[in-house]
Amino acid sequence: MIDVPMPPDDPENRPHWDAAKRGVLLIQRCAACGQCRFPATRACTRCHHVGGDWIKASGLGEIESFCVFHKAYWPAVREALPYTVVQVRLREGVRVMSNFVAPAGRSASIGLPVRARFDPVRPELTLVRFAPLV
Amino acid sequence: MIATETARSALAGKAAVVGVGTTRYGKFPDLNAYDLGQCALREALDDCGLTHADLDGLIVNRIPSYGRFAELCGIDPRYTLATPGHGRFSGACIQTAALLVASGTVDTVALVYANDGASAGTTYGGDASGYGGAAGAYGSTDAHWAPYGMTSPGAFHALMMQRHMHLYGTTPEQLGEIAVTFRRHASLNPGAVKRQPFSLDDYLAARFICEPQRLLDYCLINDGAVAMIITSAERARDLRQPPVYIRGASQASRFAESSFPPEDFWAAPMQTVARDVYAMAGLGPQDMDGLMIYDNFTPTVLFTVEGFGFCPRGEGGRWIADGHLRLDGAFPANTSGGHLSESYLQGWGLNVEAVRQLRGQCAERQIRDPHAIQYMAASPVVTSVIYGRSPS
Repeated sequence: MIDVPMPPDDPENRPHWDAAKRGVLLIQRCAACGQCRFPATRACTRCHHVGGDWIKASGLGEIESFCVFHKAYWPAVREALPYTVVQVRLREGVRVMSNFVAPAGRSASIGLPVRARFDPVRPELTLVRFAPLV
Repeated sequence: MIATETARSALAGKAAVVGVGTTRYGKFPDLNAYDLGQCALREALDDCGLTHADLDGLIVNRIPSYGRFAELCGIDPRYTLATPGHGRFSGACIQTAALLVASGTVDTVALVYANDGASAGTTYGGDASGYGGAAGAYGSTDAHWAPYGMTSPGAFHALMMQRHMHLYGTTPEQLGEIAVTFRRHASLNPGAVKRQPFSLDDYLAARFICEPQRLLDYCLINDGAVAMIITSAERARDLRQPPVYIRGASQASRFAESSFPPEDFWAAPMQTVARDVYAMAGLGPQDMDGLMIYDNFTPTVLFTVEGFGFCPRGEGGRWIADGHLRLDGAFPANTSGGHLSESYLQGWGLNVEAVRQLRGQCAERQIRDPHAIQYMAASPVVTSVIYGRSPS
């Protein structure tokens, strides 16, 4: 198990990380204009309304781009090299950075439909990674 | 909005670069950012024949404390501004200096940049609080993605490049042409950190850092400092060096959703800036005798030549592979070697190179009889400056 860096202990995003442990992908939606956003922010970046609701996202999306790390910027991730970071556009419109996980022989490609997968990497941290939809 | 005719004419040709100074580039653990900055400033003042007492404006970039720097220089400017150590601010500082001088707010501005990144062990990845994250400058949410291993400005550009390759069929060989060309230029520059030329095969054989980017797609990390002295066009004529006039300077931004790579490779803000600077200068892209293109990573160069209209969108790879950016090409670019091979000075070194080219001081790497040279930087803040040997 790779000792990945922890996310900041940020009260604003805690509901997202807590939900991930239950296998649920939560993102924020503006209570006024309905625009989805993530990571969480206090105010909507479109209509400036303060406050938002957590909604359950479909977990479905598409790979917009990806890159493969061959350098370990944190010593702890060295044994995971090379690893793939994907930029995923969720159906709800928001984008996330994540990892691609797939059976051997399947690699990330732009436009590939993907589905969220919940990986407990430590007792206190579950990551939302993405696998090919089919 | 596009700058009005009033705004354009208020700036164009009203200010000039009269002095430039640069330190050596490399790793100097015995010198801090203040030492390096003071050294560059003394050289810039000597270059134009002015003294510290002539400075009534001070703009610093990446220097930890503007106050300490001014104290060490013994100056009391009428205008002081400090900017963060993000490369996009070099163009913004020069634009600001030109506006301050053109408006008569100050007579003479010193712009001083110092970077002790090599000695400080800066890695540009991992630590989201410094120059690290995707970040520091590219996006503001990078700490959130750290558990997924996402970090570094390099990875941010790798994600962009992957899409460019997918959309337009751009190849590693085309990117390699940028790295090979700028290194060849650096081989003609005695001050460059990396001077040993390499072939396209060497480029392709270099290890991946963040695929699709290889080691030679990345800029250097080094210590060094740069200073520029900018004053009014009138005063510039009485000084030691031939003036290099600021014919145009502009910026635009794309901060919306900038935590993620822009879908248009920053084309929209680049087109806004291009319209402004060319209108100010009364010149077009075809009039440029040389280009200084912000090259933190090779893909940025590609996005820039497309965004500013030197070639059609998506054609950057092929256009560059045709040799346009070579010293003997139609638009010799980064003749110093740029950030990839001369020194990582976050735009400042490229602006100084533009000045030295227009003065005819570049010896072996001299562009033949240049009249106008354009600096361009693509990032969430796009900036450009057009320099000319004549004010209009």
